[in-house]
Amino acid sequence: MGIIAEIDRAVFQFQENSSSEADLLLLVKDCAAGEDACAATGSWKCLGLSWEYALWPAIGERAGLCEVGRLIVRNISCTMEEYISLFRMAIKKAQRGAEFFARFSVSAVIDISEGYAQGDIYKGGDYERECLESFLSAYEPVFQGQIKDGLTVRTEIALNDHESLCAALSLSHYFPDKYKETAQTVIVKLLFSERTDKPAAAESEFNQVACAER
Amino acid sequence: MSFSIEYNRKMFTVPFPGDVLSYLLLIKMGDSNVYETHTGLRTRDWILAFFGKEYEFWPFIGKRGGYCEGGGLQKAKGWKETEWMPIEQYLSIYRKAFRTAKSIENLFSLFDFSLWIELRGNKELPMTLDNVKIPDKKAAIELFLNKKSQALSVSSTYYGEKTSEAHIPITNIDDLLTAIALRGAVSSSVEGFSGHAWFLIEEKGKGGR
Repeated sequence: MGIIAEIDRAVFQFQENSSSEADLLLLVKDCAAGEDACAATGSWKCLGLSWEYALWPAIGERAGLCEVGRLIVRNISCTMEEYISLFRMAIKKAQRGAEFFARFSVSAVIDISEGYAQGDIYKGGDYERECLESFLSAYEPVFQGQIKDGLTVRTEIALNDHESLCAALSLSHYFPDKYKETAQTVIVKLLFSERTDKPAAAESEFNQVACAER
Repeated sequence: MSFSIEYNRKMFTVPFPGDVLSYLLLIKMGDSNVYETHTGLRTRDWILAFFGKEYEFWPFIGKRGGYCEGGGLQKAKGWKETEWMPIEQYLSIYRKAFRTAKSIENLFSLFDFSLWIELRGNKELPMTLDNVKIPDKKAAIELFLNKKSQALSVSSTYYGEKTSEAHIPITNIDDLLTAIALRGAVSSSVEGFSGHAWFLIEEKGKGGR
């Protein structure tokens, strides 16, 4: 069982006005512990975008991973309580949402296989399908093409505001990348990269025989 | 907004020859907005919350601790009140429970266990074992029913859906471990099968749940 090394974390808050509850965006940068140049190969992922109360289960679960040595922070093991204190501090120092888009580029990668067009073997109900189709029609793709021997169409959409980010995150929950062995026809993933890094664009994966697991 | 309440917990160690210890956790909990009509108190039941190894236990507890921090899980205070607690406090409760876990040998002197199995059909026909289209699920259910000399009987839900049910007393550790695995296999709704399995756990000497 691999050990996760958490290299960094970032918290951003999106608040419509001073009287409304802020949406917090929690990001962590992980890589597999022991990897060479771990910091360079690590990838950012979203732990959640919600009011603070809804984000603590994800933080707590990762704290539990620390306790049993399955997650380390910057190559150092820590207790649950130490990990929690890191996030308490990160939340206290949350940056404004606008700074997230200045620091990160984020895109939604949507893979739709033949089965979707045929309307069968579809993991999701009418509501999820409507959300997906609404999202695809609302935003201009930066990339669209066929992958996996032409059986799947991949669409990449850049996310530039809170609204599109929320919509894409919801879609990634409706169509998670976990039904690998069944005929899942839609998978939605979000790719985060810091603007100082090489682009995390899905286009690079088209040149590979098999897409790397994120 | 409603929330869950944790009233009590009991933790047990489960040794397996040649393997690391497993842990079994029972939690007594209920909802903030569900009450018993005859007592006026909130309902509370023992549930089998966790069974597994330590490396799975702490992420499970950490997640529950996160629900505490967010207010979705609170601790009981006295008969009727509840109290918010920070995640750190919840974790310290379970550090102590982990340290003081009893051997599984003590389980059946403290609790009565039974496994309920319910296969759901529709308003016309119940789902019987013959209707179960998934061979693994059918075999697992049949094996356990035969071992315990039990059979499914036909009943119906509140909404009139026909069901096949069995209520199986669990009196030893081997049967409990089999039932835990069976619960996971039965509780699902996929093409060709719709079922539910849960434990009914009663604390001995406490006058019911």
